Amino acid sequence: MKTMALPIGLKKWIHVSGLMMLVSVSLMATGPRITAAMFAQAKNEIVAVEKPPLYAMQQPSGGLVFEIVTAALKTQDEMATLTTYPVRKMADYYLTQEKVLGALGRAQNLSEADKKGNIVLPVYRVHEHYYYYKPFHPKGIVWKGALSDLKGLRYGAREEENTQAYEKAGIKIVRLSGLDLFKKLKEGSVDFINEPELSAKVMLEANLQADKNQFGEMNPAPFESTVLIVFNVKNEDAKTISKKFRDGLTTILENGQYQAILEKYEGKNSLSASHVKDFKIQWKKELLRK
Amino acid sequence: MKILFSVCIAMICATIVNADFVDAKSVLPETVGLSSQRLKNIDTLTDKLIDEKKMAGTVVLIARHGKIAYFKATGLADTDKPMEKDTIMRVMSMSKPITSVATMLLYEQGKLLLSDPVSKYIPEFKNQKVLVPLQKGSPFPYKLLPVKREVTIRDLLAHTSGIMYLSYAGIYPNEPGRQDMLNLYKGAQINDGYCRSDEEIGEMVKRLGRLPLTAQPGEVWEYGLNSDVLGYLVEVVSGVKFDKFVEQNIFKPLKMNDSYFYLPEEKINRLAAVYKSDWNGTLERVGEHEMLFSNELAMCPYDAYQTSGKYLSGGGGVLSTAYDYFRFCQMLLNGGELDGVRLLSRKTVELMSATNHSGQFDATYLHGHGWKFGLGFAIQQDREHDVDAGDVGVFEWAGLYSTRFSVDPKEDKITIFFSQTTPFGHHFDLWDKLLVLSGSAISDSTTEGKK
Repeated sequence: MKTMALPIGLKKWIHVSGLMMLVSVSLMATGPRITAAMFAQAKNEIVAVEKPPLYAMQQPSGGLVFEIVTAALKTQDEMATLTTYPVRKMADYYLTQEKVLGALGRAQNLSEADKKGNIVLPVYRVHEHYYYYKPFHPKGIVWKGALSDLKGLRYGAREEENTQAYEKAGIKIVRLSGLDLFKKLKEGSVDFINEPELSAKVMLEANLQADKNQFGEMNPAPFESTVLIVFNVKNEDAKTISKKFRDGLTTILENGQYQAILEKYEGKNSLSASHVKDFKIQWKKELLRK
Repeated sequence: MKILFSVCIAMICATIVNADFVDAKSVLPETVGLSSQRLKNIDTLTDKLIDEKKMAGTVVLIARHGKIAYFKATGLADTDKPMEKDTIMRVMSMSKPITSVATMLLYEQGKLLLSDPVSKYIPEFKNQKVLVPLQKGSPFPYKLLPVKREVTIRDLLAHTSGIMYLSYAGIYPNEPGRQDMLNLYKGAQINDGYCRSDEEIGEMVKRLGRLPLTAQPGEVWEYGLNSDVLGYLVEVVSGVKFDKFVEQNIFKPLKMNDSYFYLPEEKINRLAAVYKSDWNGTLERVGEHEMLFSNELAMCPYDAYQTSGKYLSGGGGVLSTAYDYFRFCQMLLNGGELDGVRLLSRKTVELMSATNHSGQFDATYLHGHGWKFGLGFAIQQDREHDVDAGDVGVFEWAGLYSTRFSVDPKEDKITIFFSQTTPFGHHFDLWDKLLVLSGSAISDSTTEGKK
């Protein structure tokens, strides 16, 4: 049986009307008391693993990346809501087993199962570093950009992270929860970890403030990775909204709103300007690819 | 003549107690309807424990009609110091009733209702799901179903929320879905509270709220991290850090002068060490910074030597003395008041000790069948089952390092046992015997002080 795709606005209206009818029934019946949850509206839910300031329910804006997503969608009169989880497995569940609109994550942390058959688009180029704990490596760890420089060391990888390249370079892998990477560095369980520069600052400030200066960034070679949005094709609106997102992102890249969002989180500096410049190049390639 | 002798001995004992512990005034047991002679059976019990090296030291306190009739410290608090009546110990899960009282204080102030969804105060508890395992071979091992109703504050108090403890996963080793739950808890760095994390309790609670529940709220009784959530909820509702709230609203009014979440420097030397016992005569003091592991149970008894920290566990973070805890129990036994200071109304204490909060489910974890869970402790519901604390209506709970309290409203009696011994599983028999000895010391026919 085929179902007719309804415009999103109409569907929301029907949903809300349905809820109001339900509420009316429960008012008449001897049922549970009305709660605010009964008035919750349908929403374009996007899931992620909580990582302030990139994607965070703790922040009213939802964080840098989610703010980009909502700004892009807003240009197309569309909206989305963010739900974050403390573990990747939960976000994976909602993406692969449920009909959420999509998921956000860094390319290396999204599995093939997450991406398979779905619409995957870049959102942001994130500036990353490897970090180590200075008391265990008082002379620092030299990294010139090749993983072979780090041979023999122990790398604290997230459980879902693809670590083939590290293993190939002779680096020992220790699987950790993404929440306690810095703590494990401090404990000496691992020699180095990888973290976006922005979220590293937030994590150290929040959890290891007294020790934050004991953590060193490996220099001179920071690198970049891409934060992706995966539109879930099981969601019947995903194709339409992904197109709108594509148009919206192009718009905010052109009108300066994208840069303004980056500057809000990264500061107004040459780094955010170069981020925008690099991302524009990546986005043009993406547009050509499709 | 015998009675006179007992009275004299008891008076001497009482004098000694008065001399070395100013506030803890003991009375002659006979004046409150207890037998000095029979209470000596407790000496025999605890002396034997120490002689057989099952425990390093114990403190036992029995009070009736508001008066302490038996108060004795035996053995060692640490390798170099004797156990004293005012030795400070980790009460662990006996923190839970204190957290419950903190919550009920806000309830009485009209700041929350027990029927309130937790999400009203902690938004991360909105739209929770229940993990339902799927058959082996399914593409994904489980399904997450929406809750039929939200977790309420009463669910947290009564342990009917579906929130679990990691450490008790071993109780359900073959239950489908349990390992998945455990993996999610571990992945989210959920802490049972037996080790003090370097983070605010609220951070952990917010992560917990985003994880699935083991069962639909109200459809299970499972001992879990509920009091830790309540501790944070008290912070949110009151706007005061949980330790400060408890200090200002419970410890100070009740003159629990030796009760803390983090001990002040000057009292560290009064903290007892934790001892590992195989219950066969091998007793070993837990070493400095040693962590204890048993399956998923991780304990850090040395954390109690920290004089400051961020982690305020409502489920297990309190350090106290037998005497302080007696004062807390006496407040409950008095219907919410002690020494002219009223914390709770009698009606609220009655509500806390009602036996129908957990519905059809028995609080089997500590006692077995015949016990229900109220709003922070277990309550004996009948006398048809194996674990009998002396009366229907007795309420009690215990702590992981072998501490226990028991309040008998009918006999107006409180029994408190404090030690610092691990593992937990050996002590059920001991505690049950202690309650038998406490109960069988009742001899109202010989007293003139019956209430």
